[in-house]
Amino acid sequence: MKPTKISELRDQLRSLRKQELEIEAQILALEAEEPSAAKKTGEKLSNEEIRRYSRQLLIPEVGTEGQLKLRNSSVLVVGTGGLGSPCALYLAAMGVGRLGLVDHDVVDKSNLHRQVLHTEASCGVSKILSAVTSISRLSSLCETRVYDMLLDSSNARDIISGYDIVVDATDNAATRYLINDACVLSGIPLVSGSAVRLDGQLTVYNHNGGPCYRCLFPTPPAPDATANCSETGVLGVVPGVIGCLQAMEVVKLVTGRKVNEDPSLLLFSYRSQPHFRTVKLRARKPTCAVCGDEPTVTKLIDYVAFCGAGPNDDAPQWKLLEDPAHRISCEKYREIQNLSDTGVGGKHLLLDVRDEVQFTICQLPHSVNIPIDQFDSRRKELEEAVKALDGAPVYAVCRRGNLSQMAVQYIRDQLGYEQCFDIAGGLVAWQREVDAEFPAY
Amino acid sequence: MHKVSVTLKFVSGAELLIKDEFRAQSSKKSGDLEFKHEVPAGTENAPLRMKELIENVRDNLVKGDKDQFYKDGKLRPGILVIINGSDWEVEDGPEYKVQADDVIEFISTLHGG
Repeated sequence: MKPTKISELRDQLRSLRKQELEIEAQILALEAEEPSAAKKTGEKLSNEEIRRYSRQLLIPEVGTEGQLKLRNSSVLVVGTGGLGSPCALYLAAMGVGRLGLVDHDVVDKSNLHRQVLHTEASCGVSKILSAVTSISRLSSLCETRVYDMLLDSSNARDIISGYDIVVDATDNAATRYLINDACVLSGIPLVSGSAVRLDGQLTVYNHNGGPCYRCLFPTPPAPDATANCSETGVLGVVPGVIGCLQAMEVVKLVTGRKVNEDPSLLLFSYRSQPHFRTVKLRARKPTCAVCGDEPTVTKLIDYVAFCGAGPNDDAPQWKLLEDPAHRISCEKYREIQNLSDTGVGGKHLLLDVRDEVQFTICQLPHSVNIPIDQFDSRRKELEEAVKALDGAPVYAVCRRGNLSQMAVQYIRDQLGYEQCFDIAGGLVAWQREVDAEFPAY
Repeated sequence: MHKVSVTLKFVSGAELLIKDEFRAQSSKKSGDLEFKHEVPAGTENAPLRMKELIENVRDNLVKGDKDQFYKDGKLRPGILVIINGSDWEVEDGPEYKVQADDVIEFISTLHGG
């Protein structure tokens, strides 16, 4: 009897959690029609606030005065992902009076290992709704304002005006330059964090004579030179560490305790000992295009054009193979697979060209793994495998159908083997088009 | 020729720009890519400057497209150079006179979140 009761109760909880999101959505919709409340002022903490923040009030670096400053402050967090989740949670918990949140995305299961604002219940709903639900559960004293949209040149100035501090918790170069320029033009300090794989970085820009993002990086990186979380992965806790430190920097800025610090870049790494280091940064650059003495950027520009890449961390879709006859659809490959499984024909080699780490996560039956960057060093092996086919085809597959096109080019051009095709869209397309159960990642 | 030895570090992804054989000689087992590197010392009239050190790194250590790393005084966008713990712009940037035992770091900026 007991297990049934437990699963009944669990079902009940799941449905309550869905209901909670629905109620929060209704509140958000009603609030959107109301004019927003005036910024909090006032020179006294309420008894409730004293009880709630007592452990923080005991710290001289905060004290009653600092706590009041936090209560009367407004902070905008752009991005509610791996960095923004812990940052927004701690800002709300520590007593920031008004918190603005910007995100355009929807919660996906692959977010949950690091984006701790979001839950299983909120998969499929907007990150903004999910974030507000978590924050309202934590604190009724924190007033949230939400912007369920992509920050761009047309809205950024309007959104950030009225906030004391902006937190950059985004995931791409174009939005980082946009936020930087908007903060410089509006005279707002910027707490910028980033994290990929096992490394994180943190800097406060546009504050106290220090540099802005453009002073450090006047030229955007080449689009293919930037690593993002969906492609290269990230250890869940790494953005967590940086997001928490971003919240700490906000506290220092709000309470006026970040005045005698030289501008610095903090580096965090899972690997290095010690895990944390800071390097001293340059001051504001008089020649900077946006914060310099004679700025050339005096209003927001087209950041997608400037960076040559858009504001998302989706993988690009390459088109290397010009002849469509050199590619087959996932559906078509399934037919070939069926033929070969039933022994009727369909002899072929399925060549998976992803790296070993990815190959171990999941793979199609009978696939042979030779990573694309080992083609040169394992050329002999590759040649023998192709030779053994006696003219039967090679089908190259990878995660999204990009590297597999390079593989086809290599086998056609370098090995001179014409019976070589790419499975268009890779394993991600395979899951979408053929096998919904396949664990594409 | 007289040589000076400096310590080079490549972190936050900059290590991926370096040839595998140099990555193998890192003095840190699991940590940052860090190793000693010898470069021809300059003369009294033409001391070794940071730009020449970077050209040496480019020509000897960097893999792939070398021009992308450093060309005509321009370092690959998104890379910060740190000399003994300070942004090279706090020092003299490309004109900095390299000293024996300097610690020179190349840090790649991260964008993810």
